[in-house]
Amino acid sequence: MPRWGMVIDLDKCFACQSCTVACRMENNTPVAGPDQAGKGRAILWNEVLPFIEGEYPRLVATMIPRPCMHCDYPPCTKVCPVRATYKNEEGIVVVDYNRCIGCRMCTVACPYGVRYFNWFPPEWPEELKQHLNPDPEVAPRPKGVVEKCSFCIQRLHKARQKADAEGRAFMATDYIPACVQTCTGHARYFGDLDDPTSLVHQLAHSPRAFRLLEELGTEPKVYYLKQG
Amino acid sequence: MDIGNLLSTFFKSAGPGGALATLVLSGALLLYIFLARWIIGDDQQQ
Amino acid sequence: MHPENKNETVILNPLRKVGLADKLLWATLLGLLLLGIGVWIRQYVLGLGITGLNRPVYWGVYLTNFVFFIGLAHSGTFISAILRLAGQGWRKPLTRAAEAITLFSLPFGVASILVDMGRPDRILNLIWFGRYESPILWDVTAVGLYLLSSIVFFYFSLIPDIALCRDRLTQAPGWQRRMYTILALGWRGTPQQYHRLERVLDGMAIFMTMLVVTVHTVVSWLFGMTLQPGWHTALIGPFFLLGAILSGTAAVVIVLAILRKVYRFQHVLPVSLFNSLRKLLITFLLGWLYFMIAEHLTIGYGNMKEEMVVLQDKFSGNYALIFWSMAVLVFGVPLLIFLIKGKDSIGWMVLACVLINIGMWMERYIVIVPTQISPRLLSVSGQGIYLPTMTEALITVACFAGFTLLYAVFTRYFPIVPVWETAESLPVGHEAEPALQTGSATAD
Ligand code: SF4
Ligand code: SF4
Repeated sequence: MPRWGMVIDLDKCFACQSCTVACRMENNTPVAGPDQAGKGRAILWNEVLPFIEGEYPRLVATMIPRPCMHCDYPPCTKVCPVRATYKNEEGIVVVDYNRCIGCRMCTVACPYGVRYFNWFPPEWPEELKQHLNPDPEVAPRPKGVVEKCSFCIQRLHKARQKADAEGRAFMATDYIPACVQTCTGHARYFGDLDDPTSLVHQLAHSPRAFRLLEELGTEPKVYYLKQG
Repeated sequence: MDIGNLLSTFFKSAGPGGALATLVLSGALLLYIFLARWIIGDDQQQ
Repeated sequence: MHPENKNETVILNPLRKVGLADKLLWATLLGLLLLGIGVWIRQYVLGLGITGLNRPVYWGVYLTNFVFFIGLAHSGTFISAILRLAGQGWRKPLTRAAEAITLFSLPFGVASILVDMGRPDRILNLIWFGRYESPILWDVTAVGLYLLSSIVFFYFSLIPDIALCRDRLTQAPGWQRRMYTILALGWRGTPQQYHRLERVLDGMAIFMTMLVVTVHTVVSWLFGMTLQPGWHTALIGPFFLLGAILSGTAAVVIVLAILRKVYRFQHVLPVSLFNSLRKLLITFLLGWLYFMIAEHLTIGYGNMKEEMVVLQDKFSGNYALIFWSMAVLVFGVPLLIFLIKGKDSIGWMVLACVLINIGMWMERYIVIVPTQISPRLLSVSGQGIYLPTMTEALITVACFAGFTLLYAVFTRYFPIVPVWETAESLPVGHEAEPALQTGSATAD
């Protein structure tokens, strides 16, 4: 069983935010509009966070793209009263939109702020509506439930089906999330962390590797490579 | 039998919690109905 | 057979006539309640976006109301269960008035949670898929059991008085008499019945005391079990509990004063009662100060970065105004009033208790919101904002109106001062139970 994980090289990332856009198109996240976005209601499964230290001209900016960390010990799934969010056998933390009761306990429990609530029914401008991803697995979520990055789990399912149809064994390299595929700077790597020969495994053990809020003991499966 | 495993399954899986909560609440309800009948009682035999 | 109580006529007086003033009051309160329900329906149809909630402030006024109403509910159990166990006889005239606060505020605590849910239509998922790893299930169990038990505890101690109404209020309209007959369960007031009733109430008092501690602790654990700065502290449980008992007891004072005035209960509810409550309240206030200092000193002294963000926000940042006025309202002014003016003065007592309750609502708010405003990773890109909207305000008003409505209606149909518990003597042959003997008035 693979243990899916991601590595993001901050030296290569130039904060173009293509990952954010690719994620939106792949996963059909609704468009909040400037008004609602200003109120903090935008849904961005992947977000590029600016960490700015010091003042101009001695300023150090670190841009950190932040998907869900898919923690090995996720505080979010622990508190869900109905198991509408859980970690599957391959380590991916998913949400069951048909079961979520919208209590938002998981959103306050996640230390990384990666979970989003559907404050309104989802909406898109007319032009975008025609380009929604038709995959039923990412059908627009109803209002009142929580959603978040799923490492594009629908792509995993499709990759498995494809391998089956072609009569060959499924390989970890068959599956990559949309953000990794799109990343302009080739800063993102994805694969099986448990496979010692995989690139993500090796990068995750590089001396440059670190994880966000490691001290909390959530054991994130998204690693970063320090810049500089 | 692995008690630890059993316990963690009880806490983590969906369903048993709801069942226990229902059991506790309906058990309490039954107890209270019984108590009410006992208080009112039938003192004729005494 | 009914107990002999020289105040019986006075106590039953409010039940004899529902006046125009009552009807106007009820209609107004009902209007506010219905308005709130309407707003909730609108919120359900449009989505929770019409509230001020957002990311990162996922929990706001509704959760504050939840904690506040559950806290208010602690009054009754405290007065009637804990003081019962402690053999404090002076509590007797005010037990029912206090328990009624419990009974009528709990439903609005529960309702606040329903209002807060994104998908209240899926509430039954909690039963089909409930799992005990989540603090929400702890809350469902504890609050559910508490609601059920306090209804029963309240009802049991009401039975003899319902029977009294059944036999005394023969002029009442037919439906009202039928209601008494059904609810009295055929109570005849035999010594054995009184004996068994006392035994059950004593037993339940122990259970209710444990429950009351559990309930507010698990309410606080909704917050305490997360890893968020400001919430993740072991003190949050006891702190919430003490706050609950403080605001609950203060609410009892307010309610008693109103009842005393409106229903002319001056003899039934003597000033000495207020003086006893005053002593309790002073104790709770000092306890509250102790927790407040223990909590904030530990965090401030430790000076951990993430905790300090929240602490500074409260002490000198955006929430400083609410924080410090909360401290003055809950602690400063009321303590001064209690010490200097409170003795023998109901007016001053009520003022202090109103301030305490306003302050306690703010205290709940200040625990819930600032932690979310500055979440760890997002605070780098500025703070979140949270401004409640009209929707939240109207629903909050509706909760308070609903509570008052239930209370006001209840006092017109049931005796709000227990006749049998305050009686000079119960039916012959009944051995006075320990609580009656030891519980002579200790009030000054
Ligand atoms: S980052 Fe947050 S949402 Fe993702 S697994 Fe960890 S706790 Fe859950
Ligand atoms: S909001 Fe949904 S997913 Fe999150 S804890 Fe509540 S029920 Fe579970």
